Amino acid sequence: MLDNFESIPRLSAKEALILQMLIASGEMYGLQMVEESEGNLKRGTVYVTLNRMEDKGYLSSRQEDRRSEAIGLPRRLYRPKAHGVRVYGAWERLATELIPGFVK
Amino acid sequence: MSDYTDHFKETISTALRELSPEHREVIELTYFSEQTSSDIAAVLGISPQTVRMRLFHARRRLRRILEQEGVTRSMLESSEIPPANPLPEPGPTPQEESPLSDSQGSPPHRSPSPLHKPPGHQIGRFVTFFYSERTKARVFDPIIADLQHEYIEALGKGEKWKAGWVRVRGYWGFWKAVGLQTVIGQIVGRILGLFKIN
Repeated sequence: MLDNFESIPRLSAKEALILQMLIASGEMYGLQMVEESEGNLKRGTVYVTLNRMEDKGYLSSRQEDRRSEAIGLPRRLYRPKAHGVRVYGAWERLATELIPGFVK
Repeated sequence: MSDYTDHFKETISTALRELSPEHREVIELTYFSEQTSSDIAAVLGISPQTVRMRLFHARRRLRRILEQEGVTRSMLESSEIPPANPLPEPGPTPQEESPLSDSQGSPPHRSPSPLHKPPGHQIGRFVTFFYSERTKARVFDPIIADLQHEYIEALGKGEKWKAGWVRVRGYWGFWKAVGLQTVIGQIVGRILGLFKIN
């Protein structure tokens, strides 16, 4: 198992949390993740993280559908990509085996 | 949010129909086409002073109608919290008593709803000097979108103080993201992360 260690992309705690939430609920707004993360994600920084994760191919995003007369900018919705789900799965297995007492 | 917005718009358009044609004309030209009083004066063939006078009376009349319609003062006033950013914010509501701020040469009907411009609708332009359109769309626009969403939601509940707080917090988050998006910002962010600040 440890032979493959280097080939598994590292996930930061924030990235892992985001993927975990997205896998659980399918599609979420950035602000929704901040609210459900209980202080682990910050509203000012979450989109920087999400943008980087999108560049790494972990997730995809789209603008919300809305009526043309709605006020303000459209918000963005995020959903995990297959690659992100695989990386998270690998990361979780690794964490469970390597870190004693790791609870999902 | 949309319930509030729809209700708000409907109330405004009902109130507008009750104004005299002269009053409705200046209100519509000012707020819907965002023209300056001298532009309007040229269009209507009257002096700019007359335009401003008419606008003053029209706003007073509009306010009385709106009050009768049950639009509370605090609901309208909360859209007049002074902007926390140095960028200009053209967004007078029909309730505003201050002299008409001139529009900035922007094309008319630029925004689908000039009646109520939420905070941050101009700040996005600033970052395009430093960052790509893509970064703006992925990182900065969502922050502004959240800010506007929460701001309008707070106004809908009549929570003026909360809308003000949302605005300040939104701008703080925005500038934080602008800093974080740089390479140095990333390094500082990592270091702060080590100490669980951030």
